[in-house]
Amino acid sequence: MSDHDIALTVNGQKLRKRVPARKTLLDFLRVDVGLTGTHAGCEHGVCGACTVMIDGVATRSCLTFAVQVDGQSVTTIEGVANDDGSFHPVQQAMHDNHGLQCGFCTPGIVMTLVSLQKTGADEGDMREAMSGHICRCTGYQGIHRAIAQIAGGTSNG
Amino acid sequence: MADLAQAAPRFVGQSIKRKENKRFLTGRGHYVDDIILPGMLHAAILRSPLARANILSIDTSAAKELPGVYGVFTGDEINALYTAIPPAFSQSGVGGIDVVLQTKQVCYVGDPVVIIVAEDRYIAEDAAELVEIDYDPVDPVVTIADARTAAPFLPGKTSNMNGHTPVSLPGAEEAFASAAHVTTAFIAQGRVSPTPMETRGIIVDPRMEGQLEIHMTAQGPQQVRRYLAPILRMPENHIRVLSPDVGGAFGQKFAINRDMLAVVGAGLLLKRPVKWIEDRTEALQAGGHGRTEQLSLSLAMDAGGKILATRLGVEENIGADPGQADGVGGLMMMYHTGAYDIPTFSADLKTWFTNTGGLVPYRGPWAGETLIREITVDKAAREMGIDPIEFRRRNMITSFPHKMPLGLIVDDVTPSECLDLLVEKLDVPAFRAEQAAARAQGRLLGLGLSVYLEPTAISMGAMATDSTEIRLEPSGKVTAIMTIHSQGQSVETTMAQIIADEMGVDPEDVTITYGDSSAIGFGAGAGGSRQAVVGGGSAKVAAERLRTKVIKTASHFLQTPVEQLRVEGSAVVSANGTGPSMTFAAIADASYFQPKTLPDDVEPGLTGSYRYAPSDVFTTANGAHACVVEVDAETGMVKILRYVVAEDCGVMLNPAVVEGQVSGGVIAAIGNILFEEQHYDEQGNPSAGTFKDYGMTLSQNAPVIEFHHLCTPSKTPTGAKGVGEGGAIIGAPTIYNAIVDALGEFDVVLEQLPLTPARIVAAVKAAQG
Repeated sequence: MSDHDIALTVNGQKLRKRVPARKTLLDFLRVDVGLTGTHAGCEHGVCGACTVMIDGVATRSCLTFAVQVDGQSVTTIEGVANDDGSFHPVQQAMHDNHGLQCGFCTPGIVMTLVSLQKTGADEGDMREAMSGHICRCTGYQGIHRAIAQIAGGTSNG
Repeated sequence: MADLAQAAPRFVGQSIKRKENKRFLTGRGHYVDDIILPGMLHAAILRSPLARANILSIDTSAAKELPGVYGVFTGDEINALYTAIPPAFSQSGVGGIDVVLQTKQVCYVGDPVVIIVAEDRYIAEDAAELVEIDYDPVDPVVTIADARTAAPFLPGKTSNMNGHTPVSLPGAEEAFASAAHVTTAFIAQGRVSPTPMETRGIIVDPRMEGQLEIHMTAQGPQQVRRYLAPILRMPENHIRVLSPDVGGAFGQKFAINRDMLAVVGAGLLLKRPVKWIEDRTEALQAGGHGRTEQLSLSLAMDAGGKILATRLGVEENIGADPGQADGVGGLMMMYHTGAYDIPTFSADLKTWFTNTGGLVPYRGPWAGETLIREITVDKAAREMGIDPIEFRRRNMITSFPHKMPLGLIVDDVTPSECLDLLVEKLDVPAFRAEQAAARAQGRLLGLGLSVYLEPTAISMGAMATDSTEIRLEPSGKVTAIMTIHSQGQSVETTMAQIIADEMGVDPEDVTITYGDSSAIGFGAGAGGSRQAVVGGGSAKVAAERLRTKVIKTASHFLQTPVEQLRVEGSAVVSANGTGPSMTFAAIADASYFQPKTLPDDVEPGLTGSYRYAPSDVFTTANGAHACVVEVDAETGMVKILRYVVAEDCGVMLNPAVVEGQVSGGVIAAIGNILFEEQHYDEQGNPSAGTFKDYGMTLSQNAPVIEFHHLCTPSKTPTGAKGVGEGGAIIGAPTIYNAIVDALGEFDVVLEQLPLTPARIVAAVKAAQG
């Protein structure tokens, strides 16, 4: 098992770290960087709880090795809110629409929707992308309402 | 002391946005896996790959030699730390496997055998691969049919049957003998995994002498402490269990399990903090299962379709180490007559040990009673040529309070009104016309509905009470310490709404704390849809008591009789709005920092507490659900086109929270009926190890759920009823009945859940001969 030096940016912070080749990006972010908002839901790439953005693209951190993000920019749930601490429109929409209950799957869903919103995706695209996330609590009702709000560009918060 | 006036309710009943959301939406939740302690080690658990085998030898020497490995323990070391392990839920105290780690035989795929502790989880799993276990496989006992005929596989047992309860109430058999028509139905549940998105996890921290600290995923840390103390032979107050944010539980996280006991043992042996986080494969195979029963129900009707008696059969496959060792047949029996006025019944309940994962509580554990009843009612209506809605109306309980056959009193429920509301919102004639038109085009649409009574807020034994202590802090802010917990139920918001109304403060000024067994003391915790009722009741009365004390303290300084004062805007103000007022901060300042200024009959400090023990064992909620589906008879695919809920959960503390709870339950029920199954093959191998093989309901399969509410307050302090399990209970027969209605022309027999496309196609082919 080999160790590797990687240089990357996480939520705007430049980092240089040494990691074993087999360490997942998920474990790297949670343990080495201390950003525990990214969650391990299944570690098989199915449930979506571990989703982060790599250079703006939603990616499963449980199926990505830390060494793969050398030279890249990673955004986690901790890096989504505005600088003044106010919610990003996706966070606001989830808040406004009761889109979360236990909160465990939530960070991954927010990251997927943030990445799609940046590309100008419509409600149908976002609904389709939600098929890559599993939520056991909400019955998806509030998440679907949140997507409608995000796609419609409105916020009642 | 007389109850003193509070401001008019302003927050209860409002869908105010959740206080919890800020941390969850910004990645600052605090789940057990987010906790890192100094010197903390990581455990992996080596489990049986076989359903049943004798252990010939275990060789851990190579694993122990791997650099970074701190300990490799078998049952020889771990089991000695404990007494025999009783099941978490059992009246008899008798369960299945009663040791932490197996040393002589393994009894299901996933049965824990060795625990490996290393500096990180990667190394622990490397070491697990170096452990050599020599197994001698034995033919497993997998199904109930196997269990009936096979020799007992658990040591010391004389039978694979754990319990058998035959019940025959007076008049039941006579009613069947004289019935004009008898309808019988059968259904076998698909075994499901509770599947919270956060798997189970635990950190044991034994560094402090005389204070064993445990951080874990628990619905009630105090219940874990109560269970753990005697089996570890430790005083209860030498153990502190902390349960931080929990990512869903659904009943599964009520108890501490054998694998977690192994982690506690490893920590004690190593005298180091040890963390174990269950992986998804372990969760699916060894995290316990629900819905393991086979159900039969016969209804005896008179010529007019009035049900005279029932005959219920429940056989449960409870696995090898059931936490819920008595099964759930007793609860099913108690409630299986539901919202119908059925005077008598007979029942036969059996639980069977098998070489499968153990039965654990799962959201509406008794749900099978509503499933089998509502599908049998539909079948009876069909057989007798009566419309299923009319058939239900003929049998509905209409006079309250109503005594169920075993003596349970049901009151403050509205089954007829909910059914009427549902039918009105559905527009059944319009649907039947649409159904006929669709059928003419070769499309199969179906309408299903169900009604139910939901026993909530179970209050007996270890679940009898919950308690709240509320403080006015020196700053004038309010803190409540509660024995309830949250795994997504939004109690930080709903309890703050209750307290804010009582105290005349904003919910933002109320902080709800829970989850530390040493701080909260004993109480039931989360479970059985109790928090709005029992937690809310304790919070409301505790706040009333605190308010009374705050007003009394202020009365002294304001020189105004208490009768002329009330709370508003975080202050005590004069009732008529003209006199002087005193802020909570000023009152707290006097009470905490200047106690000598208080009169003799006013104690320093501002706290109010109340332990609520509801007088009724259950607070009953009720509802009626309907579903419209389209079924493709050639592919077996089912599409849910419409889902309508009419329900009465009394006072809704927060309607968005209520609808979130019901929605989550309905979507779990869709899984129960269409997708979810942990199937065991003949060799006892579980079918699912990932979410690729275990069919969770995904967002594209979630219909829009339409809600219609009635409000009949319960006779509890808040007027609320529980709402956590109903959706999961009634959703299953509602969808089932819709599928059967859609396939009406085929007269299908569907007796095994989930109704996968393959099973539906097979049933259609069988019906076509």
